[in-house]
Amino acid sequence: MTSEFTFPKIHSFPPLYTKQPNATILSTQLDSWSQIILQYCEYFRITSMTLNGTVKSSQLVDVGKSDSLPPLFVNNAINRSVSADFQSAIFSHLIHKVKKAEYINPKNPELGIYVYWRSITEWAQLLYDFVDKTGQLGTVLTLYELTKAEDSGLPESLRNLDEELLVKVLKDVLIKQGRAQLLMDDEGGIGGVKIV
Amino acid sequence: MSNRNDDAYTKLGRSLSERHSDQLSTQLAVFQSALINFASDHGDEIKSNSEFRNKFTHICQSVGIDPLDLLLYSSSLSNTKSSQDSNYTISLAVRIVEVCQETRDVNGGLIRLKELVSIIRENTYINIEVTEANIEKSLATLTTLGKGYEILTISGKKWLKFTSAIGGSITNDQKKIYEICGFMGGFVTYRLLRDNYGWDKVRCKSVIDEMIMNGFLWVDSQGEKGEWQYWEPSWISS
Repeated sequence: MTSEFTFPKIHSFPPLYTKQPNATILSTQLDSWSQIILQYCEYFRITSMTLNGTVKSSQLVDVGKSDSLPPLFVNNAINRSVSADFQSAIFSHLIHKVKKAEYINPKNPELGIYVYWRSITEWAQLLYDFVDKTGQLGTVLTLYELTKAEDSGLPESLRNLDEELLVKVLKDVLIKQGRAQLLMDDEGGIGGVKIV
Repeated sequence: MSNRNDDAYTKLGRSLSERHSDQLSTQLAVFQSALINFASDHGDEIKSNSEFRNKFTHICQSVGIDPLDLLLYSSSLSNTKSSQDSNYTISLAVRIVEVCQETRDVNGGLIRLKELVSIIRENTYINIEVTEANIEKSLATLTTLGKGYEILTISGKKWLKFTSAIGGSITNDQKKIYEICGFMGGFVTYRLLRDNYGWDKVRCKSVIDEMIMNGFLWVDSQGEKGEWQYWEPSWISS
């Protein structure tokens, strides 16, 4: 399935790989890159990336470790690539202007970014709906049960969701709304989640 | 076993909701076409009664029909009466201005006539006959508002150039750059300009820099042998 993805035509436009000097054009260019990144990540279900544009985590098992993905910032057909500087400008645009990404740890940007082709509120709603529909509101569930369990009615949209992102969704949305509680185990890890 | 049951339920659910949404879109289509007929039957009334017109426009918007499309459509049906003819020309002119504004950031204000026609055709809900000749005629009505829209022929292809109040028209040097772009599949370099027109570096730089500033050219620093290329953005949509 990895070969079916096609980049939009602008990905083959040579100047797309050079930071444009004209400010109006530059903002169009950064918007185009943002759209490309979002389409790419949604297609391969990539939820986080390194700052070089490689996959950090994906819900698709074979995407996470394979080199078979078409590279995002390199176009071998036209022999063009995006410089490291320009890559960080693009990510910064995606984070601050388009607001569809966030540093995994703002104090340590090197760790990479979450890409929100689905917002964390939407992720939270999917989780809540799943727990609600399967009649498990108020039950203590493990993180495993929320993203990996078989035969539990777990929808494909949630399968293999990156655990780091799952915890962020719980903490930033559901706990804040008072719809979830975390239960810690002896070692200070997350032993279970109760969604109410 | 339970898995198979789940599957059957999911399938049933999916087919039910598909059928439901099919029915809804059929109903919507029927309603829309009724609305179109209504507009062509009662055109005069809609025009003369402002309260009626207001309500009608509201209905159009809530079912996803742009009233401008309706005007275009009803006036394109009969070209016998001169008033309808002018309605068509004027509403098409409005459409052209809309498209030009929307695509300005990408193409810097220069669009192929062919592309303009296909964008207008794609974006209207109702099938409307639009040709390059129609467009040229509509543009003529805009000239009374100032010289913002102008048709150019570059390497045998027609382009529409539009500028806001200021900016003037395209210079001969700029036109020559587009000619080279046409031959080279979209780009130009200093060397190409020197070899073909004998321009010196200063002339190349001043023309190209101005075109970059106006958004007519994009810079590419990764050309063959490190040579900078300057691309015209209509490549993206062509």
